[in-house]
Amino acid sequence: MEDALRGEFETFVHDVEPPLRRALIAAYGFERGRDATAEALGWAWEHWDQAKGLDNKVAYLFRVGQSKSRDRKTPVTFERGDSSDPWFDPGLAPALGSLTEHQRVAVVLVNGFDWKLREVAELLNVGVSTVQSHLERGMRSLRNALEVVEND
Amino acid sequence: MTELNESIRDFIETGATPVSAEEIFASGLSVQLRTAADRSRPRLRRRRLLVLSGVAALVVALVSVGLVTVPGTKNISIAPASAATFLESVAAKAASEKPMVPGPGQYLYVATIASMTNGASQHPSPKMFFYVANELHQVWTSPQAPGHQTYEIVGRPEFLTAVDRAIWVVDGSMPLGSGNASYGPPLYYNVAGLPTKVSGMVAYFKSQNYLPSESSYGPPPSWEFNMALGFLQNGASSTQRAALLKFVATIPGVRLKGDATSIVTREKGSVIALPLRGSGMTEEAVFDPSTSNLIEIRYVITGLPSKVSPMPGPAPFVGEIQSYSDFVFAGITRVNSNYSLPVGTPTFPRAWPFGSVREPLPGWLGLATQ
Repeated sequence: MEDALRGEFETFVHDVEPPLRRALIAAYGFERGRDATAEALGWAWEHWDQAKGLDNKVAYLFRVGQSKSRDRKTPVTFERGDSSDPWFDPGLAPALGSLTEHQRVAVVLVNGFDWKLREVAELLNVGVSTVQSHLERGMRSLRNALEVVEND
Repeated sequence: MTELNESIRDFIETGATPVSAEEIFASGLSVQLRTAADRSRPRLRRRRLLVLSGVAALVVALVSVGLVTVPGTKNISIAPASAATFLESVAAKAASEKPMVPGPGQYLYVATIASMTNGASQHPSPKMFFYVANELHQVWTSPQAPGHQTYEIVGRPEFLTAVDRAIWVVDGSMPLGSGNASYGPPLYYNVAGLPTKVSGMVAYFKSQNYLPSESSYGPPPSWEFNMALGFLQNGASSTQRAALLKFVATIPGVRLKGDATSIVTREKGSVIALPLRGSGMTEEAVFDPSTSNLIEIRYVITGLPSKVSPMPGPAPFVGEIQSYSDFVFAGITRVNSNYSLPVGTPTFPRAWPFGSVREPLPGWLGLATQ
């Protein structure tokens, strides 16, 4: 019984963890976002009867992760372990950190991971036009901060 | 994909390691089949649990317990009458009411004000102090969208004893807050699927895996009573509401106890009571017969325990209302990120602290914490 449940849950994690982690990291940064992902998946395992039947698993668990990490004082940062990482523009982390939470989620998920506006709207519980607005403003701020020309 | 978009993707994807199922298993969490909603039990039951929650900024251990004494509030005991007759008449009223089931893109909103005794200590102080407060609990739930809930202290809290105030002062007079902040999102009570016949009610309760199981709740009448009250306070209306009230009338031990006034909202109604076997307590539901509204749920002491309570404060007495939850308002509102209030939501008591008044009432001065 327990083995079968664990198998089901492993499949669940395989499908749900990547988009959930990306969304929570976009919202809360690397450390707090990963912790929130683990908290949300822990909740799903504890409430497996309910979690496996959820209609929009990622959106629901995103909310669980938000709720679980709400009282944390860990700042939203995108600092990486290796600060001399040569692959990324050194201005990218502070530029992402300077966006509002919703702008960051919209920019990361839509432009970085090809989510549809509707999917982000469901995640954030806002309208599609609101996501569009967050996306445009967020990208404008990012381009300005990184001095990227339009249509790069 | 543009270079910037690729850079964002790689930056996010490589910044933190994925969370594996093994990591969750290794954390010691265990699956809770069919008891998954233990955390979402009807609120009064939840309040009776002792909950510890860390508040990082203050390094405070906050405790919420459902032990509230209302000085001078005694329950009026009246000879039992026909609970069935009363509930049948309320059910007839309920059957004519407007349904309150959220459609697509809508939330069911429910506001209640409940009693709470919170305990806190300022690290590294080993002493805890306790204060009594009314907390406004607002809940937005939907069958389609994730739910949301908030707790905030309303009105002026009160120290349990003079000693509690003294500890609070020594600890730095920290701001007081709700002990409920750590609970997760609320779960939607599926009122739309409720049977319209009494005979199907118990089977329906058992089929709802977000509700606490019968075995985890004690004697069956108590479980049945609590499940019915939970649905009545979470949007059940019209024929389902009528069926729930008729169902309550069939629960062994339920009786009509007389009239009462709700403690916070000061509404008058009639009391349906169920003694909780072996606990020295009676659970009471106060109904407004003119609207069928469940205006208050409360727990009343009907027998004193042989053991002394570890909680500080005045000694309990028979007839004391130990905890209560007053219904304030329910309505349907649009799903959005602001969790807006439905049209017609009344003005709530002010959240604490307000203005320059930041210190709780002194409490029962002269009584020492044991």
